[in-house]
Amino acid sequence: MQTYILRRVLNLIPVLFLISLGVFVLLRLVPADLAEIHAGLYGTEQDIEQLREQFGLDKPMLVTLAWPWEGEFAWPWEGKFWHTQYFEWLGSALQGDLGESAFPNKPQGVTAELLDRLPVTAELLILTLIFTIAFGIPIGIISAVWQNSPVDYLMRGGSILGLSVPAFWLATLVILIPSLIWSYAPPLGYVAFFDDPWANLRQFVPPALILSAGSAAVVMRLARSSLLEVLRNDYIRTARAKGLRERTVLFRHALKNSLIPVLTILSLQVATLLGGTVIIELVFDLRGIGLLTFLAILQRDYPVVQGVALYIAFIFVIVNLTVDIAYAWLDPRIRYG
Amino acid sequence: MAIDDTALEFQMDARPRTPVWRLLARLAWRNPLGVLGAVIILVLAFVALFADFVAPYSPSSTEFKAFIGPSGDHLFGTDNLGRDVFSRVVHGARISLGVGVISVSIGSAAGAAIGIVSGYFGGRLDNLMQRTGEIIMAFPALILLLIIVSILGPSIQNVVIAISLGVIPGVQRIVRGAVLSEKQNQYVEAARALGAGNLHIMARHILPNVLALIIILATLLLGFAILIEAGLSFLQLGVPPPNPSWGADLSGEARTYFPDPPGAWWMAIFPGLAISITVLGFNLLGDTLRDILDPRLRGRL
Repeated sequence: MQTYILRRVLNLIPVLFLISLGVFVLLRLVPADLAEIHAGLYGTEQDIEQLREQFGLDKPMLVTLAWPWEGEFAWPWEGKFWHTQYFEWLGSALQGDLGESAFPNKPQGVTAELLDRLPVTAELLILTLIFTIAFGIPIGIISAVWQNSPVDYLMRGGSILGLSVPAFWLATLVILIPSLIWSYAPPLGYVAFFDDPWANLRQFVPPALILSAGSAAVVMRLARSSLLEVLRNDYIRTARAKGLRERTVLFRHALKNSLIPVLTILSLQVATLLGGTVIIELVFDLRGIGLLTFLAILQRDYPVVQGVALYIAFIFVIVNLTVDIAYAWLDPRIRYG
Repeated sequence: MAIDDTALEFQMDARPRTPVWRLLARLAWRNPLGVLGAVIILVLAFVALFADFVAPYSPSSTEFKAFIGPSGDHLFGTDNLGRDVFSRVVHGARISLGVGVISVSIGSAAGAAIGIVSGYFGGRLDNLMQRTGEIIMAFPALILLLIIVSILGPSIQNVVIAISLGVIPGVQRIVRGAVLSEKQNQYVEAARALGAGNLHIMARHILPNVLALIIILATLLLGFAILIEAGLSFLQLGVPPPNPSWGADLSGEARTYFPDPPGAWWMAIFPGLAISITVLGFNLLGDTLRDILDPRLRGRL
């Protein structure tokens, strides 16, 4: 089991590296110069030049492009080779320093800013995942057990509806309707869970429920069809034939096997949910990483976007590890494979 | 010759053929939800094509009083700038469906081409493609598209480019999977034995066999594309302002529908309803197409 987990961790490292590299290159296509922004309206050529040096923007982006006989050239074993914007950023990022925002009026470093906002987004994501699982899987099972009954049709209809309604509209309605009928507005400003759990949940449950609608629908559809497929297997017929109760057949024999593809889709849904936090945090005015990402993209604040990309890659790694361990638990063949 | 003809006729008479329309009717009877989806899409397509005749006013004219509630003159009321919301929703169909259809066509054509080549040849190229696809899919699509649009600048054309790019990884992965099992078939071997080249086998033998899959995928992706376009426009990085876009009409300045003082709820309801119904139509049709053409895919798409 330990070797299995270790092997999975090692497999994920290149992914982390490639995500950070991809986003870095993509962002440098943005026509915005950090030094020019910092120099402001009245900055002279010299100021810009100095700032460029300060931020390391005078260095090559990724690799030194030069021929061996030219002065710029360096081999990978020489220190100079790694003095490029990407590798220096990666180096300090590995030490926990993600640099500074492109906007001088934000005194905080990117790392501090991300850590500041992490609790909000983390709570939103965890609640959303709990709702996704708590609604998606049981409804999928019920729908499969009573296949083609009115209950099944109702739930499948509901899931297609959940897939079709955009989260931002649902969120708008959830804020708008109470305000029209009871002049009720949701509380503003973040309340930490441990300060006042009730106020905190009142703030987070509605957005998490809305965000989970789409992913719960996806999970429900897959849980249903996967369980139906498993129930067609011979070993299920054998279990029934030897007189086991239907409940035992379902929960002891069928369920675990049917959950394997559900786990896969759940891990893919996390990426969708991360995108969803951008919209939901904007509508509910939650000061989380989603909102930060959106503003940073809008303002072309690329040190922040790079930090966000690393955070996304990090979540991807955590999710994949959790899913891999869960796979191994659900299917012993994977552990020993 | 004459004898052959009668033999043929006799055979055809022996097995009475069901007329096509009756087959279709039976199919429709068994899939009422699919029919509902098809009807929604047909109505929307009609509205989009003939928007100029369906809409009573111009979508951009500000000649009316702001915040008139829904009435006979203004079915869906007027917005904060005094524009007729119904006319904007009608013209919005044109943009939503247009962006969706064009970007999904480009994206799934490119994705299918990559998937077929990648699955057919296998090897190192395939491996590279799959790893790249996995990494792109690990990244939240919405954030990636936001970055792309912010680089290219918001315009209808750039939204189409971004969504087409966003569609490719998913399509190529699923098509590749289908090609992997398809190329094991004997007809591929037979074609090769007859001297057919790789390109010929891919285009004439493998493509027709995965076409049903591509069509199902494209239908389901149309719903996704319309949702993404609405999301981007809602974040004001999609279809730029004077154009009537359902997503954009729900955001920014239009968010004055909150009840201090106007409370123009109709501005919040109708564009969102239009998005939901359109996506619902494509999802219903896509699901039904999948069940009819390839039931094995249930749950996987």
